[in-house]
Formats: sequence, structure tokens, C-alpha cells
Amino acid sequence: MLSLRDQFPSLASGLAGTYLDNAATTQAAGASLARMASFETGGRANVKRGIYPLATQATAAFENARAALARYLGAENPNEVVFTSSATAAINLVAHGFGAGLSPGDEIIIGEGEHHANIVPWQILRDRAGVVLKVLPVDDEGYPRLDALDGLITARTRLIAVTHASNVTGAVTDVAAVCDIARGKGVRVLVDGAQMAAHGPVDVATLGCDFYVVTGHKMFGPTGIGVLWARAAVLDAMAPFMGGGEMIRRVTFDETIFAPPPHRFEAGTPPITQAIGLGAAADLLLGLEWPEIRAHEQVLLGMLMERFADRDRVTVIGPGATAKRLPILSFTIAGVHPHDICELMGARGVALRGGHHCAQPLMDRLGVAATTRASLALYNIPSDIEAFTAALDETLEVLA
Amino acid sequence: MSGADDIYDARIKTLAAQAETLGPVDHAACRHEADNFLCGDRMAVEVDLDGNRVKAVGGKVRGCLLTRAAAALLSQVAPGLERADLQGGIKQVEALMADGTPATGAWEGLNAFTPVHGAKHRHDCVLLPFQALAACLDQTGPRDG
Repeated sequence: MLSLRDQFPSLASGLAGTYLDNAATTQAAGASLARMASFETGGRANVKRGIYPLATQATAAFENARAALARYLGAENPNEVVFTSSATAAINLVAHGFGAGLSPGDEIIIGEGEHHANIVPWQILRDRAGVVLKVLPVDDEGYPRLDALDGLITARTRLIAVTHASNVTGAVTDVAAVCDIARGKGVRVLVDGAQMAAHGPVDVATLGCDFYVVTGHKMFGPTGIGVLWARAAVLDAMAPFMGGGEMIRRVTFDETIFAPPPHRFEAGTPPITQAIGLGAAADLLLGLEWPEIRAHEQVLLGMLMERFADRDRVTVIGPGATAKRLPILSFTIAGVHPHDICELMGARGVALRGGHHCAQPLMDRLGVAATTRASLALYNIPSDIEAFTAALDETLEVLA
Repeated sequence: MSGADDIYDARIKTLAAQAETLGPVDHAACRHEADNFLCGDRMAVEVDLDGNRVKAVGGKVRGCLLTRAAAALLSQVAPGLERADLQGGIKQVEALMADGTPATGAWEGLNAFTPVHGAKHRHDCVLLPFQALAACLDQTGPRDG
């Protein structure tokens, strides 16, 4: 039986080096790559309409992937799963579809710690439809301040859009608490689960949210595929975002009658191969022992933070190791720019990310222009932390 | 030592340290703030002109070592030059990044950035102060001597 790390070809081969940029993109699982290759070489056909065997098999593979994502997200009904091209596209879909039902003066609350993907679509909606955006502040560690939420909600509040886990600080939002507050006031909740989905199955039913978005390339699947999960009743009430083939019941020059969800939101030929690959990734993740993996990730995070403890110039941005957080660690080093660190660490085989991480409002709140980020995933091992430490020492020598 | 280390040679580090002294100019004829699309680094350039002659270039830089070094060099070389010489400097740094063409004349110091030519993903770091300068000068328009 393959070890966990050996199930990721780019890691098993060593080509990915010391890969600590998992919050940007995880490495693809071999099972995902194999299922996509199998489809492309022996099962390729378009989905939904064709009735010859190859096409019906392709449709079955595509719908099996939808079912796998439903299981991974804890959804009972696969028809609540809409394939998109990314988590960003999924949020934009909601901003257009759900947003079409909003009126000028309606309010949307967005978190201060959000990725730009969960800010900009709402600003575009604001500018188009006259809705009002309010900001739920974060505390000094990057956690949304739920104590401030109640005071932001009014009779005009229609939606709260928050991340499940910060791509900068790793802070995990108490989404269930957000949903509890929102539900009592008839407000919908959208959760950006892009980071969370790499760290174990999600249970949307327990969370109590209305929308949940994930992306394939951050959960060991391919790029170019994302998922919107939404409650069936919410999807039923939503207008389509894009029009085209595959999303209709009947088209005349006078009118179009749209197909029911999820097809109403999947105009045109979907990213079939990528959906099948993501389904394989979800199947793999569903079969893992997550308590063990999370404990392993936590140990590695602790190791990483210990390496910083005796360095005076290093400041960790975000919560401590034992807090409710993901193994996503941002830090600054006094007098050294993150891109200079990343350049030299990269040359030493350590993949890190530096910059604002598409979260400039959070950077402003935390009082930093940019951070360096090391983000871990299930396949990282202690020697990755050792390699990180050695490369950091060399990097700081070069920059001295 | 890796190839990337060459970017961080002593001349670049010395220049970057000198960026600490950048500040506003007394009578700015123009001011422009430019962002690096890649990383959000930011450079505000101010130019004090006496007719077509540059009295001072200053501003504020929030950026990596390369951006700070380029900003410092710009502020050191520009005083006393004509507007046209600034435009020439912009062209020279663009050529140095694009194809490694060595800089000459007043802008010869740009050659400290020659190793960056091979690191396309960092070109914008060096170019940012000059992009801000170009936009700044565009605000003032050409003037007769």
C-alpha cells in the first residue's frame, strides 16, 4: 500500500521540492490524475445530452463526481452541488444569482479578513444594484469578531459572507455561531471554504450555512474546477448567472424556460475532466483518517512555530499554535521583504508565498504590507520543516 | 550559492539601504503612486522641476529590496538631469530588463540590476519606481527650455 505522500506523484518524485505553498495550490493526488487520464483516453464524450454508451458513461462519471463532492461537503442531495470553474466563480455566481433578488438598500456583511474573491464580487454587486456593504471586523489574531455581528445586522441584511479559514492567518471562523446568529434573523450565510476543504471533510448541515464554496486545486484536485453548494430551496429561487446550452428546458425566441438546479447554473459544456478529477480527490480524502492527519499537521505547525521562537526579528501574524486554526502560518521578519525571502528560499527548493495574499484589507487591519506564508498539507513531513529552517538561515545570511 | 543570490549583490543591498532617506521634495511639480500588480508593493514618486531641469526626485517606497534599490538609484541620479534624460533612463531600465542591454551615461549605475534580467518575475520590482516616474512626468507635459 502506498504511503500518503507516495499518493502524490510530484512529491514522490521529489520534483515539487519542499512544498509549503499549499494554501495557494495543493499538489494533485495520483488518484485524481489517473481518473482524469482514464476519462480522456477511454471515456471522453460530452455530458448530459448524448445517449450513446460513451456519452452516458461520461455523464455517469460526471454525476458520480458530483455525488462525491456532495458526500465530502456533507450534503444529502447531489443536486445541491454546482460545478463552476473555481471558488471565485462560485462566489460570483451567487453575487449575480442571489444578488439579482436584492433591492437597493439591502445589506450584505462581509468579513474584514476575506480573500479578495469574497470582497470584490460584492463590491461589483454594490455598484450595480445599490446594495450596502458592511464589514465584520476581525480581532488582532484575524478571527472575525462575532461579538460585533449582532450589531451589524438590520432588517435589511440579506447575506453574511465569511471565510471558513483565513488564507493569511489560518484562523478558523466559528461558522456555526455565525449561522446561528444569522438564522435567527432570516439572513443567509455564504462560507468561503477554499482553505478549509484541504483539511478534511466539511459538514454543511452541521454548520447551518446556505452557500459553501470550494476549489479543486486547493483540495488535491485539478485547476479549473470549483464547487458551489447551496441549499436546494435557495438554488431553486436563484436566477441563473450565465445562459447557454445545457441549462435550459425549452428555448423559443420569446422566452427560455430554465432547467432546475444544478444544471441551471452550468451553462455550456462543463469542465468534465476536471470535475471527474475533483471527484476522485474527494473520494481519496473521504477515505483518510482525519483525526490522525489533523494531529500530524498540528505537530508540524508546532515545529514551525518553535523554529521562530528564538528569532527576535520574526513576528508570527495570527493565532498561536494551539488555537482553532489551520496550519497556514504567516510571518514577517524585521527589515526583510517577503519577496526577497521567497526568492532565495525558492532557489533553495522551498516553496513559500509572499505578498498580500489577495487580502489587502486584512493586511491593512493587521498593520503589515505583506507577509511570508508557509502553508502545510497532509503530505508534509518533519524534514520539510528542517529544510525550511536551513534555507531560512542561508537566506538571512545572503540578505545580511 | 544559487543564481538567485546574484540578485542580492553588495551594490543592490547598499542602494536599498539608502532608500531609507527618501522623502518628499519641497516643490513637487508632479506626484504619482504606482502599485506592483504582482505583490502590492507601492512607490510614490515626486519630482521637483526647474523648467526642464530636475531639481529633485523623492517620494516614498514600500517594497522589496530591488524596488527600494531602484528607487534610491533614481533619486540619486536624477537631480541635474533634463526631463529628456529621465525619459532616457526609463528606456534604459526597460531595455536592461527586457534584453540585458547595458545602461550607459548617467544611468550606468542601473547595471547593478543586470542579474535581475534573468529573473523575469522580478522585472516589475526594478521597474516600479520608473513606471511611477513616467506617470508622474506625464502629468507635467513637455516644456520648452
